[in-house]
Amino acid sequence: MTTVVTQPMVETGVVLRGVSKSYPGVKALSDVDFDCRPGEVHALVGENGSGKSTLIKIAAGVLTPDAGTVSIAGQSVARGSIKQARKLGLMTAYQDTALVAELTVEENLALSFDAIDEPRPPDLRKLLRRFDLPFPINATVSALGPGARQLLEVARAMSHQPKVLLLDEPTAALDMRLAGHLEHLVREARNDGTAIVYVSHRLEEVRRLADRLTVLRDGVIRGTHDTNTWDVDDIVELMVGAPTELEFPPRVTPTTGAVRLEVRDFAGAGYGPLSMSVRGGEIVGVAGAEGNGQRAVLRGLIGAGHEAGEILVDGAPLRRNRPDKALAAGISFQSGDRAAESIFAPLPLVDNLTAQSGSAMGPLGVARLQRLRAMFVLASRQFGIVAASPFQPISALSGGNQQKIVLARPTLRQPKVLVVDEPTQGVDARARMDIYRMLADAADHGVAVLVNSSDSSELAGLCDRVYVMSRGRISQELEGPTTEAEIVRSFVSAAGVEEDGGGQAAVSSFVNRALGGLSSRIPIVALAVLCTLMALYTGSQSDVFWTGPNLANLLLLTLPLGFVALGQQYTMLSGGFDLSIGATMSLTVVAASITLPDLGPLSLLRSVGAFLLIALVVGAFNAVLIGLLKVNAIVATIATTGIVQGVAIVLRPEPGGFIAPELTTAFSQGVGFIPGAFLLLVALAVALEVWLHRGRGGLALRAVGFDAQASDRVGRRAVIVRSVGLVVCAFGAVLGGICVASLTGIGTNDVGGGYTLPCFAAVFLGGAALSGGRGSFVGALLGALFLSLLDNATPLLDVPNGAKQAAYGLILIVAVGSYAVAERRRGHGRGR
Amino acid sequence: MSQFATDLKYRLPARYLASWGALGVLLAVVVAVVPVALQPNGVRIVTALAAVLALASFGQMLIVMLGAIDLSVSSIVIVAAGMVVHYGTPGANLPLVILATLALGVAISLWNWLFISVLRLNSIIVTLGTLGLVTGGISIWTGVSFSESGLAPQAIQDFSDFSVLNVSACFLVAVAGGLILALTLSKTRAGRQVAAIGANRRAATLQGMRVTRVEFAAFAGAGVFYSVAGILVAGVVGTPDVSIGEPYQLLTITAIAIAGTTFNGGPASVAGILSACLFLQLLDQAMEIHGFSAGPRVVVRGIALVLAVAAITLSQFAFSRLRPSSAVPRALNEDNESSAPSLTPDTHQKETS
Repeated sequence: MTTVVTQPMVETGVVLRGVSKSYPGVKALSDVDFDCRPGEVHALVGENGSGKSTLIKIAAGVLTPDAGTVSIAGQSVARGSIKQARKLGLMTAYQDTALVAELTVEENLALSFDAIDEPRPPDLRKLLRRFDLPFPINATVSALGPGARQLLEVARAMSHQPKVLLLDEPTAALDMRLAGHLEHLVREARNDGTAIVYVSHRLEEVRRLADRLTVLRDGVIRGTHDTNTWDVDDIVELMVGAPTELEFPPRVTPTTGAVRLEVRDFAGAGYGPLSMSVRGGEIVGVAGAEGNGQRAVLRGLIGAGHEAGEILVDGAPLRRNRPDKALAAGISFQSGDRAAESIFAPLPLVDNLTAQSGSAMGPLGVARLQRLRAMFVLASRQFGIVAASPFQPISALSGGNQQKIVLARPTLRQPKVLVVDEPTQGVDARARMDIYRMLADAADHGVAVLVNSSDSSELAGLCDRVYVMSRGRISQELEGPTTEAEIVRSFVSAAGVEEDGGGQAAVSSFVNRALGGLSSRIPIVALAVLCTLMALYTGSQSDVFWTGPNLANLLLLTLPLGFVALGQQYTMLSGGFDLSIGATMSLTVVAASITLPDLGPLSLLRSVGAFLLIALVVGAFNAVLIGLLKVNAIVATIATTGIVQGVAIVLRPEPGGFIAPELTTAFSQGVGFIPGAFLLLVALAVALEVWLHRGRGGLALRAVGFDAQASDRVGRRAVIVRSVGLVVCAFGAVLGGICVASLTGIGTNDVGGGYTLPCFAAVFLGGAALSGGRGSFVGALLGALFLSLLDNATPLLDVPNGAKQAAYGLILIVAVGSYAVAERRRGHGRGR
Repeated sequence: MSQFATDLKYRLPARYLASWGALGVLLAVVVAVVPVALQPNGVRIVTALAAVLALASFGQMLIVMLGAIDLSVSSIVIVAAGMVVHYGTPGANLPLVILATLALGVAISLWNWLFISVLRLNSIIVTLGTLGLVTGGISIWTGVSFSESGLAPQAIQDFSDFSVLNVSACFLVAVAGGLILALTLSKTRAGRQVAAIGANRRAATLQGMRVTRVEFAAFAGAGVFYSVAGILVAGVVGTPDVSIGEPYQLLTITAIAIAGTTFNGGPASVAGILSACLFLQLLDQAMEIHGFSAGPRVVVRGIALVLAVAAITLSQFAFSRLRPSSAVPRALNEDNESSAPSLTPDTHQKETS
């Protein structure tokens, strides 16, 4: 559509005009017009892959359309910006939620308000009470069941009193009672004048709620119904479209094949108990609306996420259910989630193809290239894989050719059972045909084939039998050749299965909260105990230890490590990592030896400028390498180390240049034997700790560290928070460097290097996790204090330097290992 | 283009050739500016030091291919040097000492494996702890200079001083070690699985590969390489002390990055690492002879690393938008193609339609 954008017909609500979006090989949306007026529920229905989610994401600002305009409440939104969309009053509840699982309900609510610069409502508890949610506000989200999380996601969006509300499959994980509650909330919001876009599979639910209904298929709008006078069958027909032009390979349903795969009382996380069987030569489908346990069952078959029940292959039970054992027993599993669990993206095609080939590659564990090539030539000819060379990395191929490589793997092995998840996801039409033929061929050779697909037409065309799943169980078995409409109807009408009571979630959340609070404090308690024991022991062995000068010295020596550890902790909370701190400290000392010969105002001014410049330049350089160029953080900061260290050496090839002696005096001033600077350090750590748990910035920092995607979805850009983290880390290193300068009194270019490893040891001891989000400033400071105590005590105890170093290492591994075990226990307690 | 040429293009992608190119350019500059560096003695020193770095880097490469990182390299190098100096006194059974040294190196590396691969702790933390533990341990055990004389066994010194056409014998060891490594990684099934596990551990597991077993072998192999590097560097230096291994922690990572390896796990080039090590040592030597002080040398090395990783990253961006294994895979939501435009077709790709 090239015509000028017409004046939106409605002033408020959300309006999409002429929106198109395509991905390589797929046109997700073409020239779509869609609007939703205030005070109406506009339902959007379509099959999996019809473009609904793309449409929602474009409206929400997650994606930028290739063409077309989006306007929210009369204002046009230029490029995709989540924050702008949310600020204009468009809130989204995602099917897989934008909640940070490690944070509490309350924190997730607060995060949502903070991210768009709205004041937090004074009483979040009261705000939430309006929605009558079956869990307390201080529960950790990960302790909630999937249904409760989805309800929370919707309630959070509604709590902003949005002008427009996008609900993406809000009832997918809800049981009937919660679904009913949600319908009530949706009606209330509509009566308050909210424009609600409602995406759902469940047509009965849509009939009860929707004022208008739009059907989307293959990225094109197939019609909008203004009233709820429509007939379910008509809508299903619109969703499914005319009989597909695809031809499925002819199938002769075998009636006599022996059962090759049998599963009894099978259960695991998110599914079961259920039983099913597949005969040799049979293709059996698994269908269901997204998220009803289909994916988990298939993985359970090869031992990933399987907890109970029995698997028999050709009548022989599988003893230890593990992927390698399952393969040996004859079950080959191939996933359509290629990037996550199927292909080895940087590896050549031939390696990807022969992933399961085993001894066919050569005798005695050898892989003969000649045989690999032969396999590749055979497979590419047989299945029409188009590639320039067997050594091409698989990431360079189209989705269809990748999937053919994936499904050609079992043909090189002749399994007894072939389990395929989403055989044609992201695959073009032509390659689909080849893939269907591959599956049919396998069945013709007597293999039992089990296929899960979210594309019902595919199941209808391919399968001899279809199991329909609903909430983890088999709700229906469709015998014999079936039709797409029949499958779709079987799950659009699927009634809810009663979920296990909500009380369980509440109890477990209480236990977890207690455990959670404990486990986050374990490092602090452990370090405090260690410090005390160490101090008492040293004091009992040495008369010098408890004297004022020694303690003052100990605290002074803690300063550099303390400041730099706080900085490192900050960046690690956001998921960052900085190895260049040692070099930054050295450079700071060198700079001080040039700019700070005395504490005169001019020198001070000059020095402060130099220090700030160092922190900004180093931090920004790291941020560019890591955030923009996506260089691995370790490699990036090693490179920075080299450059910064080199600059320090250039400026001061030999030790020289005096640093104002007054600086040393200033640092040792304080209360009794405690230096003032140390009090400052403690105050800073405590202030940061309080800020981390009470402040907006601290919350954002943790949210980004735990879950960058969830953070992005509420409008808090993770890349910015992380870049700031790297600058703060460099700033901490500069502060540490100033403390070192006060100790050395002279400019040397290598004093900082020795602080790198202790800095990491300190933050890890303090409970930081490299995955981000976890950690404590007080913990990091205690870690620094403990390491300095070791430093201080070893000469007093006549312990050799080596023993100190060894103790460092051992304590680090033991401490971090036990924290991880405690954390994992807690994770297990949640039953995730 | 013939099929052979096409295959070659993919088997030797540009990112693996970059370090060779850099080495070539550097050689040309050295010949023009500081030919002294290429005199017999200079070549001997550069090849000896490059060999030690290369052997240590081969070990690091195995760990990086698995998607982890090893910061404890230096400690294992120190232990190996310390072992041969401490026990390789005149009259000792040197082969036995060397064997014990290799065994200890393997044991330390397997300690890392236990925590990283079996207990699934972060490799940085684990190897940082191992670094302290082992470095401290060896200096208690043998003292800072390893023995009273502090001398490496004469046989090892003689071996390190030996050269063929001015190429140090150490370099021949490195080439042989590299050859064995390259053959293992390409000609054995377990070897081929190393890159697969590093590229996508979950996929490797689901495909039925014995992931922890392969990782065990890779860590053990890394221990052997580190130990050989330590034994040889003791011979090269003659009187090593506990600071001997220190540079190898960051230098191995630098060499691997310049050799075009991504740190997300996956394939790597043995030959590329060898050339990157030659490049780094020759660069250092030439700058030193030319009168550069330590500062600029360190800066230049840092800039070389930034240029290398930036170039590799940028070329990857141009090549494919996919960055797997760096992010935790999320459950696929419907309309999968919208959330993860998974793999963009390459220009070489001929569409089937």
